[in-house]
Amino acid sequence: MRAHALRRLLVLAVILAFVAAACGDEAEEATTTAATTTTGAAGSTTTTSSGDTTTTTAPFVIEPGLTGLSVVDDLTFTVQMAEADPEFPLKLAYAAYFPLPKVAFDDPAAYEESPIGNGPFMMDGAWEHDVVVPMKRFEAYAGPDPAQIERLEWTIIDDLNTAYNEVRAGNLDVLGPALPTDQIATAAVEFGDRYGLSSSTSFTYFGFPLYLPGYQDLDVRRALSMAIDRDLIVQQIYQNTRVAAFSTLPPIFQGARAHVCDNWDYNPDEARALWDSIDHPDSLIVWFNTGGGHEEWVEAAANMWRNTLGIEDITFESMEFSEYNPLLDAQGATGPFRLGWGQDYPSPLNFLEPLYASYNLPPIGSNNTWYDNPAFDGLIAQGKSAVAASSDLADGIPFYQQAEDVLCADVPIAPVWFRTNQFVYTEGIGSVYYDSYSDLGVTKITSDGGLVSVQLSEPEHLFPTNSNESNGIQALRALFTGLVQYDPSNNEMFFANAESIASDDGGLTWTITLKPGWTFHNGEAVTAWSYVNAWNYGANTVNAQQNNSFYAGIAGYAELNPAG
Amino acid sequence: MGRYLVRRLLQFIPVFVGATLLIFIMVWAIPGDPIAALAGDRVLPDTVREQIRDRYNLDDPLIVQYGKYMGGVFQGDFGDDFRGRPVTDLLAQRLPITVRLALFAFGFEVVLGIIAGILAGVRKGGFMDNLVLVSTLVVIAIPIFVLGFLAQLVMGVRLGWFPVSGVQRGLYSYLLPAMVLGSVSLAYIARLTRTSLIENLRADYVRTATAKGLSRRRVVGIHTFRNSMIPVVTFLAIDLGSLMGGAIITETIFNIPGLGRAVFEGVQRQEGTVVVGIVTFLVVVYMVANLAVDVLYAVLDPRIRYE
Repeated sequence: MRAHALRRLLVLAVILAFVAAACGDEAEEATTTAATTTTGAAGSTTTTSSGDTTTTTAPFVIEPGLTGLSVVDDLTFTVQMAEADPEFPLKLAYAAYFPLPKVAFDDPAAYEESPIGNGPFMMDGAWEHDVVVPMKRFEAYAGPDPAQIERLEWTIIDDLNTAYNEVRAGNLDVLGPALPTDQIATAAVEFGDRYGLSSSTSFTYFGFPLYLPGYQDLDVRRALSMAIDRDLIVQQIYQNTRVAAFSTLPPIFQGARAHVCDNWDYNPDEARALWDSIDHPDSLIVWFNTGGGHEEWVEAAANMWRNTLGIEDITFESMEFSEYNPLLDAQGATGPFRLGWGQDYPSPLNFLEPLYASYNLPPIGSNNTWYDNPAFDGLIAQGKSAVAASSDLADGIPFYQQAEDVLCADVPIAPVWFRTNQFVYTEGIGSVYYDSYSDLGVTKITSDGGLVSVQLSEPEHLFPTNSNESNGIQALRALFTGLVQYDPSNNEMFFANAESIASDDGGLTWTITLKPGWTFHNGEAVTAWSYVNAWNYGANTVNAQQNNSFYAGIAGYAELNPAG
Repeated sequence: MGRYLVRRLLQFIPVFVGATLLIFIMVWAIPGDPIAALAGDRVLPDTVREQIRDRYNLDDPLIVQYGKYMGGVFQGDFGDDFRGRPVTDLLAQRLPITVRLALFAFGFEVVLGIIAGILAGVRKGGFMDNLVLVSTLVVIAIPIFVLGFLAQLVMGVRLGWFPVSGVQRGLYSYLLPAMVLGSVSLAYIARLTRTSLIENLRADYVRTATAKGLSRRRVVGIHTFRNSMIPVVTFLAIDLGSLMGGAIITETIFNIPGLGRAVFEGVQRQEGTVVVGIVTFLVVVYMVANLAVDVLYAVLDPRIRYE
């Protein structure tokens, strides 16, 4: 008996030891070993003497590269496009076009834990996964817009309700660009002058499956569109924190109009009369994705169709976006389907060409309605050549507006609403704004204590050529400054790291010159190679970078991405 | 006893293989291409998508994928998540956090639950009994996310007694979430202890012990209490398992980067390696906890023998 008891105790002790071992903090610094393939790096290292931009040996070069990229001198490189792209400079604010220092290619996985960029902020220690991405001001920043605060902490909080409570308690300084659903109506009252609202370009619409016979009838689409009371949806469901959409171009854009044509307006009587006069479907299947909070407004719209048009039999099909997206690409939607779009760069073209041009069909393009109208394609082409001829974005706008008129007449989609950025912040924080990308303006923000903590969800990556979701990009935009940026007040482009970007052949070849004297956070000079290497790395399929498609317009892309 | 333990440990092997295979099949059966979904609204070029699918063996038949995975596991390689980080790193980072939270919650519910159960059980129908019954009923009736947000708002935001969320204030950060996490089990433990105690207090041997002239304290404390613990201990073992894996809601509310959230995110992203790795680990924890309980039975009740 006693021996038995002893043995039992021994077993218990072993179990307890196991738990205690699991509990301990022994796994402090587990170093990640990179499995990422890097392309062969030819040439020797670039040695810089403390901020001096002269390289003493041959530059570090990523090979193979895009044939369209060639370095002229330390601060100049040229970009040969596969096809003329007059709006190329506008695109260059995106993370995919940021420069990278040499250290990024040595060990990308290690680099990502503490990225070194050329932006107004630098990492203040390593990225602590699921907890914080710490940053501090880069004192040697050469850019036009240095940071006002000393430290910037991206606090990782996934749940918006939790983050909201943290702002209430004063522990978290800024929460945006979205607030918890239950708080969107009351936040303005609760936070008073520490509450803000700004324009975003995020756009939500119903697409119609033009590949189905039932939806090829223009009047069916017109009636469905005119039966949606967009103002009511925005008022009742979003307490006016979103903007009803009667057009496809975001209100903040040059060339955006509040009203395009009657087909996108609310007109219940005409919708009903039209519906009754045609051979209409008796039932409707409405498609949307879960996880984006779309249930409420989609149901509201369905009720409007039920009440206004008298369609009794309306059913819903919903699924996770990972399943929804391929389904739409395979023409799987059998009724109106919900989709959204956000800007890659602020130009009307970016809201027209990818979504409706006949040559942008899925799975490569995003024309999920399979809309095909030569008149529309023609106007887009005309707009592009007008911009190419004068290098003035404004010259394209009349054509883009006409293209939008064509869309409105054809109703391949019914716009529903535009999102806005909604944010709250604590006492002592000033100059808070979220720009048209829905990113926080990190350089303008001020803080009495010199520190600002901002809510973020855990980024997937912190690597410019591999980051394509909002969390990673938002953090990267503090660490990097690209060739161009946008003035948040009027959404106009200005040169940031670029001295000039010019083309004298209508956008086929671009010559990009950098401002001198810029350095990365580790002192390495920002040169033409910093850009060319980064783009070459991102464009090569071997590296499996998620922003790979952003280099598709540059000559030589196909060679780096052989099919099959 | 020794042979019994060996037999039980050998049983771990088929359970381990079966569990990993089942979870693997389930993750695999989630529709949609997880790699295409990585890119969100944007389109990932086919060449890149294939490259990544290759890296995670996603184009192999299920059984080949499983074989490759298990081959890695036996060499200590639990694979990478879709961000390219090894799952073992993820476990190493998150496990201590979850264990801390679970142990705090476990300690909280065991101590308070058993004390409340005894206080209620020794005087059935008395004031303490009614108090425990009513208060535990309230706790069981409130959904955990309501309880969580309420506790956060009142104790964290308004009163400022506890950190609102996060784990950056050391062990102190775990107190409030642990209490929320342990509250429902606490209620069950209190009720279970109470019922079991009341039942045993009516048993013949208790009457004998009382007749022998033993003090009430000794009758309850030594003779009845130990026997009454058998159902409670059974519950505790299962509960320890669910505390480790089922804390998704509490971890989300209090922004605690533990295993529960990792599994949840893994399922959403269809990261087979993450889900299988963590769930398998949890299965092992369950099995060990159950074994511990079976061994404990013998400690609690000398009549139970293992051969």
